[in-house]
Amino acid sequence: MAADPQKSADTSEGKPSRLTPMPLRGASYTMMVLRLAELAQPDFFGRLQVKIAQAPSFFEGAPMLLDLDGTAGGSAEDFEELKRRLRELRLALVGVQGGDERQHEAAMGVGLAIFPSWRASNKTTRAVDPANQRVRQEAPPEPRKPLLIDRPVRSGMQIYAEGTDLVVTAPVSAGAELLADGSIHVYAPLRGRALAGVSGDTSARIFCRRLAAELLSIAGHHRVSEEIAEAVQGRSVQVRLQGDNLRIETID
Amino acid sequence: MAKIIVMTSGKGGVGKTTSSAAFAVGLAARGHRTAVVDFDVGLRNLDIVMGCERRVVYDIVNVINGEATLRQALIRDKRMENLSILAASQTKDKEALELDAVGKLLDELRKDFDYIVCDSPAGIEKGALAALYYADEAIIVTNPEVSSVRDSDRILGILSSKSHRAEKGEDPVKEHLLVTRYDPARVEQGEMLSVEDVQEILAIKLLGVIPESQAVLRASNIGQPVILDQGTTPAQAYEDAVGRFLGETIEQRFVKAARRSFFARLMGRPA
Ligand SMILES: Nc1ncnc2c1ncn2[C@@H]1O[C@H](COP(=O)(O)OP(=O)(O)O)[C@@H](O)[C@H]1O
Ligand SMILES: [Mg+2]
Repeated sequence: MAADPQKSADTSEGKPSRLTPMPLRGASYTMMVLRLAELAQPDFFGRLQVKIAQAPSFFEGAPMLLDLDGTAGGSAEDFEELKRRLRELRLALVGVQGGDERQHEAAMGVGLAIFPSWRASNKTTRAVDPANQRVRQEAPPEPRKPLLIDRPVRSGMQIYAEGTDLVVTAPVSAGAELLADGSIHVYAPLRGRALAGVSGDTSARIFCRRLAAELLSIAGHHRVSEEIAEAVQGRSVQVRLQGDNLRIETID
Repeated sequence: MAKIIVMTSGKGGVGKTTSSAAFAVGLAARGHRTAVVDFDVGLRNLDIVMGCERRVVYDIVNVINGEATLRQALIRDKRMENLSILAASQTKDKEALELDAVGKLLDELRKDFDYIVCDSPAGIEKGALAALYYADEAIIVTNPEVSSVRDSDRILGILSSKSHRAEKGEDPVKEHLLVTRYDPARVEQGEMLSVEDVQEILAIKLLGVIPESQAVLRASNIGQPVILDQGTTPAQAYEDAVGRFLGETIEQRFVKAARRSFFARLMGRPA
C-alpha cells in the first residue's frame, strides 16, 4: 500500500482524488491474552466460564489474543476449534502472538492475525550493549511527559495515555475508563476502570487516593471489583503485577 | 449579558420541568427578565406546569421552521409580566432542533431577556444536546438514587466535552447540583443516597435540596409553579436555591444529617 493515503485513493474515473483521504485510521485497544500453555490445564473452559460469569458485560464479545509462547504445536483445525469454543462463550479470538512460523501459517489460514509479541521485544531491549548505553548517557532522551487530566473523568468517558503515564487529579466516575501504556496515578477517588500497561508493560502500576474501582488491569491481568479485597476498598493503594498476580497494597 | 441556564439530568422524571418552572418564576420575581423554553418536543408539559397550556398557539418548532416569529410564539405569563414561556410541540419531530437553528433562536432571546431557562428532555440524544449545547450554566437535577446519579455524571461529561463552550475552548459551563425529591427519613433508613453521597460522587457545588412533597403534584395539577405555593417546603427550598444561584449565602435546609447508607457502600464509599 502506498505510503501516502491521499495519493492512493483513486476516483472511479481513474483520476487521483486529492480531497478524500483513505478512510483508514490507527487505533489502540486493550485485549485479553489467553495462553495456549494454560489450555492444557484441567477443565480450562469450565473455569473460564466461571470467570466470565463474574463480569459478563466486561467479557461480552471481547476480542482475545492467543499467546503461543512456550508451545510448538497447533494445526489450522486446532485453531479453528479453539475459535469456535471461545465463540460459544461469546469471546472473539482475533489473533495470536509469539510462537513459530508453522504456528503462524496455521493461524493465518483460519483468519487469525499475527500480533508482535511484546515479550520478545522486551527481551531485546533488556540486553543492553554497554557501548550503546554510554551514548545514551551523553544525550539523554527527552522524557515522555505524562498525560495530565485536571477535570473529573465522568461516566462514559475514556482517556488513553498513549506511550506514557496518565495522571488524574480529579475523581474518576463509575463507568469511566482510564487506559495508559505506562502507569496510572489518580489523586482522587477511582470508581471507574483503570488499565495500565495496555501494550504489555508488566512493570506499569496503578496508584490511587481512594480505591473503589470497577476494574483494575495491568498488562492484561485484571481484577473486577468483586475480586478486590474488602480490606483495601476505600484505601490509598498501589497496584502492581507480581508474576501473573495483581498485588494491591495500601499506601496510607 | 444574558445567561442561558439548562435544567438537565440524563434521567427522566427527576424534576427538571418542576425545577425549570420554579427557577423561571423565582428569577422573574426578583426582577429579572426571564424566558423559559421547553425543549422536550413530543412530550411537552412545561406549559401545563406553568398553567398556560390553553394559550399555546405556536411552539419552538414553529419558530425554528420559520412558521412563526419568536414574538408570536412567546407566551407572556399572567402572573408576572417579565416572564415568558416558549412551549414545545406535542406532535412535531424533535429532529427540528438543529444546533444552528437553536443557536439563532437563543441569540434572539438573549436580546430581550436576562435569563433563559432551558428545560431539557431526558436522555442524551438530540433534544437534550440541543438544550444544553449553548448553556452558560447548568443545573444538574438529580434524585438521591444510584441510577440518577450515574446519568447526571454522564451529562456532566457531555457538558465538559460536547457543549459549545467546551468545543470553543471557552470557560467551562458552570455546574450546579440540585438534589430533588429528597426524603431524609428514607435516607436515614438507608433506602436512598444522602446529599453528601451524591455530592461526593458528582463532585460539583450543591445549589440546593428540594424535599419530596405532595405540594409538587398539587401545584402541577392546578398549573401553578410550586414555588408560588408559599409556606410549603418545596417552595422554600426553591426560593433558597434561586437565591444561592444569584450569589446569596443561604444555609441548606431540609437536609438532616444522614448515616452512611447501603447505597454509599454499593457506590464504593469507604465504610
Ligand atoms: N420535590 C418533589 N416532590 C414530589 N414529587 C415531585 C417532586 N419533584 C418532581 N415531582 C414529581 O415527579 C414527576 C416528574 O417531575 P418532572 O418535573 O416532570 O420531571 P422531569 O421534567 O425531569 O421529567 C412529576 O409527577 C412531579 O410532580
Ligand atoms: Mg420534563
